[in-house]
Amino acid sequence: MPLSYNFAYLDEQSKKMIRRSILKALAIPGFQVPFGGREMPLPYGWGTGGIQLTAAVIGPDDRLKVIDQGSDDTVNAISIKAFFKKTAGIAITEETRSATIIQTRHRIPETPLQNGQIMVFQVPIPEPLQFIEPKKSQTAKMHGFEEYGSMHVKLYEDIAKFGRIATAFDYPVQVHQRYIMSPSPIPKYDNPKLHRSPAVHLFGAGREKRIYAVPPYTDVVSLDFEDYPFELEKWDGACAVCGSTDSFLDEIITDDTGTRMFICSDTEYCQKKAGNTFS
Amino acid sequence: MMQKGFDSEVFDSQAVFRSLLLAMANPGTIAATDINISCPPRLQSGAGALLLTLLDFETVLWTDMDTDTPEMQWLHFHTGTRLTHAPNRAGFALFTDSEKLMDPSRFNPGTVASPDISTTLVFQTRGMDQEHHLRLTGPGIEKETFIHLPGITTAFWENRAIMNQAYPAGIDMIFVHARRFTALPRTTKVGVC
Ligand SMILES: [Zn+2]
Repeated sequence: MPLSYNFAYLDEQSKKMIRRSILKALAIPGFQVPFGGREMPLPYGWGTGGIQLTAAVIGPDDRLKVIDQGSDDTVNAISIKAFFKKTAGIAITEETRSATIIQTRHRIPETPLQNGQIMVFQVPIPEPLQFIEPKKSQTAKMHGFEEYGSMHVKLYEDIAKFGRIATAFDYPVQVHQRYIMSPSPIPKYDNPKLHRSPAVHLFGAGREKRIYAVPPYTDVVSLDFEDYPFELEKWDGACAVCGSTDSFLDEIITDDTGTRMFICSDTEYCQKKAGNTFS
Repeated sequence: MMQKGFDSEVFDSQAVFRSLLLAMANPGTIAATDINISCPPRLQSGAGALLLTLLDFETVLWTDMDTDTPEMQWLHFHTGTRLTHAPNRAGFALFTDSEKLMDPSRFNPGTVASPDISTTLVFQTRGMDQEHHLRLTGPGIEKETFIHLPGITTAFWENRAIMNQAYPAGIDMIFVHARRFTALPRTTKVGVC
């Protein structure tokens, strides 16, 4: 491998800065730590925040899994894997259980994570209060003084309008009974997987230059109301491939007449389950 | 001649950081680095490795040692870190001698809106094991865990507990003995058994 750039592309100076921010993020669960550092050679929207985190954490012994919408084979996932293969010679895996680092956009794997594993989330909008208060100086104060009343008002307005909380993705959570945090655009179905998870969860927003984290065994509670408790999505059918009734399903239209079926969004989980069932 | 730092800056610092990340994420677990660096005598090799990993020309370090010691010259040479005599201005603080332990509230706990601009303390201790001296609970700990850090006084833990009532402001701590270390972020509740 010709080393015209540094291991995992990022220069050591930027890695140090990001590493210090990661430690602070772990020490203050859910708090958005600002970070500096070099720009990555990929456009925003490709997960630069996640790539910077992975580059600062990864070493030669790691096995990296990258998923996008639950799949290991989308264009975004394939480019990120190619990036770390080329710049760091990293071993790639699709198997959740054997991955040491899992970089993700949109999903948390269905297979339960273990202590020692590191999830890296690509975050487009790190500030959960942005839709209520666009000024960053204000949202910093609101987090500082736990002024979260307006967040509850916004969710309650949803209930008044739709009869339920309409948010299905990026559903806000409260971490360690303190910070309100965006879990990134995962379906709310995945929120409970964060609660007291044995794994480390790191969140990176490249454009906004923010890092935040949920350490293992930390309380992560989806915001709700006594009369409108947090509810998970449910599906009428099972996965057409593996028969699963307890995974997040994508609805797929299979022909011109609009025939529909459901398939697991987590492709690795689905293939494994289908293999176990039929072989 | 100046003693050398890491054999490989890139791979050694990655390995040390990775153990430190998992230590900070799982407070009270004892991590170890298998990297043996020959730092000047009053720096334990684990402390040397951690400081080489964390410090650079953007950090400000306070220490209980004199700034003209071989230890400080070695750290400055390999990292470019700036030094300060003012505890409340330090991003990192290094205690090499537990006799000189100070009330942690003399360091910077950050502010309510910016709790991340706080001092991280690194202590060299006289030992480290998992005897039932301190009971730890909080994020990163499934139920409870125990640690024994000889030389750190009960009064120190009491001062820390008072200071951490200002959460999210607070001080994160790393304790080192030889090549082993453990981390106690501000969220960890410490009970003296
Ligand atoms: Zn399936």
